[in-house]
Amino acid sequence: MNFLSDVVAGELDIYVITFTLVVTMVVLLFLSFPMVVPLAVAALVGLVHFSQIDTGVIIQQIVTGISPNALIAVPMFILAADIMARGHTANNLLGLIEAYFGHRRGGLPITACLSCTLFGSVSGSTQATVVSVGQIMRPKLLAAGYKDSFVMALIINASDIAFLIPPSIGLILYGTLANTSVGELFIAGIGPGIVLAVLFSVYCYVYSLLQGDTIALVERKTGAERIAALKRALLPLGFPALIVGGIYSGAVTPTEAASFSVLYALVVECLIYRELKLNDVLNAALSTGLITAVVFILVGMGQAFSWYISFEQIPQGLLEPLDLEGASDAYILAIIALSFFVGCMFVDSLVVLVILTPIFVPIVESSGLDPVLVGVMVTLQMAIGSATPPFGCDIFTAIAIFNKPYMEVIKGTFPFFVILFVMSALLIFFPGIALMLRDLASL
Amino acid sequence: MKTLLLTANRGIEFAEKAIIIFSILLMMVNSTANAIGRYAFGQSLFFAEELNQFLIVGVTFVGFAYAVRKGRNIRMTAVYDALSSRTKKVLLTLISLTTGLLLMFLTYKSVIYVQEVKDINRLSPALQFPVYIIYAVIPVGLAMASLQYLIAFLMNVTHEGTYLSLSVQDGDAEDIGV
Amino acid sequence: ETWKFASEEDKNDVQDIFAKTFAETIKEESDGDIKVRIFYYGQLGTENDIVELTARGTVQFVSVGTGHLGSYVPEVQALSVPYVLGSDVDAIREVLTSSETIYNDLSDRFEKVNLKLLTMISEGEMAWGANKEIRSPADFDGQKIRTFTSTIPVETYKAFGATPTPLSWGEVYGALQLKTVDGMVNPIYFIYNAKWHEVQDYLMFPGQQPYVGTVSTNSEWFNGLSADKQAMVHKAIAAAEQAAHDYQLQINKENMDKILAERPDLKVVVLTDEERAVFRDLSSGLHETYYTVVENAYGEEEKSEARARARKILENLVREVKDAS
Ligand code: NA
Ligand code: NA
Repeated sequence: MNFLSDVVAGELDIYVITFTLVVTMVVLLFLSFPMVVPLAVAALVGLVHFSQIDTGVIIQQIVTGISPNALIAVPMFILAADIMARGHTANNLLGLIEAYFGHRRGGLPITACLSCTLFGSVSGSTQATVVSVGQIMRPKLLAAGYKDSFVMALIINASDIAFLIPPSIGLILYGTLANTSVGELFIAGIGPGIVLAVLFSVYCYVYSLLQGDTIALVERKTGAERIAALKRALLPLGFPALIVGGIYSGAVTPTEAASFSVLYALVVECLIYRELKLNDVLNAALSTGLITAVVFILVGMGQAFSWYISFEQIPQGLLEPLDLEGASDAYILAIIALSFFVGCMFVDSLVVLVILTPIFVPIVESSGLDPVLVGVMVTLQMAIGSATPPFGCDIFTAIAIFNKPYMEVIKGTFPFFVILFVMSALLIFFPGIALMLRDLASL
Repeated sequence: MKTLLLTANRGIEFAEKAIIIFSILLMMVNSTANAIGRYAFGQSLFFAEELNQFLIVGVTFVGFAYAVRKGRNIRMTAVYDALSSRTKKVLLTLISLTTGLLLMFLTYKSVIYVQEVKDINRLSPALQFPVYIIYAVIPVGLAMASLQYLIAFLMNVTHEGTYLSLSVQDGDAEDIGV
Repeated sequence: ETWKFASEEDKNDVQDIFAKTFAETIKEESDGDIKVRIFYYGQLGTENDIVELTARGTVQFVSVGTGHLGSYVPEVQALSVPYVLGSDVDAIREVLTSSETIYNDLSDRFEKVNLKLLTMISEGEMAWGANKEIRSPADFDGQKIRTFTSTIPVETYKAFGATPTPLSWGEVYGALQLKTVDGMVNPIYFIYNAKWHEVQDYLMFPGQQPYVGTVSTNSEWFNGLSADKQAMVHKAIAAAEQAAHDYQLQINKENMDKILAERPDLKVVVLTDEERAVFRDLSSGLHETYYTVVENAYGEEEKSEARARARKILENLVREVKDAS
């Protein structure tokens, strides 16, 4: 109880707190406690042992964590994807993809990657993307002989490109917190988003070359077969068309588009194909609720944990000695990236954004850094963070939806992590990747 | 006695499922109705967001309890998988007990929180609805989850095998259905 | 010792300037013995969270938009009724800092949730944003206006002829850009900070009401402070109110200039007295709405008393604003 003397003196040693909380979390995590326990215990240790604060705040913050309206899109897209996967829609879409790309090396994973990019960009939800595209594409990729670890890593990482391409809640929140043009951020996010999609696609191609003998390519389809596949996919294609068109035309918000996709899936599967019965729909809703709950309880508990970190202003304390005043731009940018990266390892990306941005804004303003570039860098780290262990919403979603153990889900992520790391470095040394489009647009 | 408990258990499971399904489907109806109203009739459902938030609280806490029941909670089992089955059993027995107790503590805290929200008579801004009625689902969900872990602890102590909940053994967590 | 002050706004917004000045004054007055730690938007949760944390004593001071307090102190929504406070800067300030009604009748209601009302600050006139000129209720027809999700604002824009559309603020930028909604209502400095001027073509000044921030403290904790410390708090609040007032005037003007510099094609419309009178007349019907909202927050046996009290608060407030003008 030697920490107690610090508490009595009124000065908490943030290094002691940080060390204790991290060790507590990591130990409980590796002992294979349910993930909600490490977060809850770390929060409790902080609140009770270090700060003597009423622990009721944990309950309040769980609710706050699950309350943002944008989160509603997650269960809705899960439900839509589940209904389509149970019915004909998913199969017909896959038939189309196979007919056109199935005979090419890397054709399937590249299609999966680009589908994730497109769907994620439009829906604005990485978790929804993991579910929708993952649920539909994964079985096909597995059947073609791709390893599950590769497939799951591809899906969770490609989904994260969603953060960079508008509309993006991360860019909007950053723009407001850092007083930076959201319009410019939107444009600046597109370049790095595309570069990432290309790099991931290249990796898919290389991977399928290296694994050449285990992966079966389908025979090249004839023109007539392709047209038949296209015909079968017409109704299912209404699904992406509805979402893309609905959102970009302004008819619906991304959250509402998610609900409409459920309605569309129901109409197509139950009324037109007559494939699904009431029981199937109820099953889909139940499974959706379960997946939502196991992810959201962690989002909520993560919010409670980060509330404590924020209350004791631990990030500020840890960053103080780095002495960023007057440092070089590249150094500042690297530190910002690193801070967000580390933060996103342990808590949800948006929470990290809210906690860290106010700390860095004055430093960015007094440096020569373009705040738009910083915004893109920060968003890139948030994207990476959703897929980096131990805390990553996309990982949780993948575990829940594919019913696979934690380690198996993250096994194949390393190559993607390297690509994302390279991308971060590229952004520091070639800021034009983000800023060129922005500068062109403002001419 | 035993049949009575098993019947109660089945009843609770049925209630959990019903709440989850109802909430998810209502969320869909609510959001689409709001968009259709705004787009086609120039009328928004001013309470749509609030209702969705209520529903998500319900889904999260009841769904959490249901997920524990079905052994579908997220764990990182890298070290665990490498252990001998005897060590596994000891560890899981310990985990189910401590997790159950932790959740019981959180249940207690949430009862107090709900009571506080009731005492200050907090009303939701759009529907002017007493928030504590919705939040009452928090202690209920946490209590059910806690109970599942404590039952799993008893099963681990009294039976062969490694139990995640009353009916699900480690490694058996499977897909769910109505 | 360390006191904690939570605000719903970002760094360098009006409430933050308030908090900073408060912190500096306390530090000076206590010779550095007391530190005030400031929390910004979202760092300790939502507006509701920081109000509850203060009522519970985890945080000592809280500043939030008055509308957010309506969930706890329904009577406070008198300040949200349109054309009650109006747009006379000096009159508003006089009422918000020294109104009998606010500091006796309303303040009593704060005590019921263990809060002590310290002061209220105007953060500038609420402007309407849209993509067309709006001068009359007819102009509002079919316009989807994003409002705060609460009965009074929702009913206000219904009464004005618009379609009030609640949206969480994270979705507002995208919704305005894609024309999912047509307009919104906010003070100028905030419109600039949220960058919503990038996606609106017109800004209207209807002389309707300011955005009001309310600063309160944990009542029990405050009553337990020594007389010296209580005096210190009051002194710091007065200094902070002055600083926030000066800053509000400055930042709203500065940000208006920035908006016009960034969007030279954006049109600013100041409604004439006659045009304002039309909306003012429509607003009188909302007084009943306010009474009903307050009444509904109470149990059967308290309803009629609550309604009478609400009527007294609103009528007195209207009279005080008139006297101050
Ligand atoms: Na996006
Ligand atoms: Na992470």
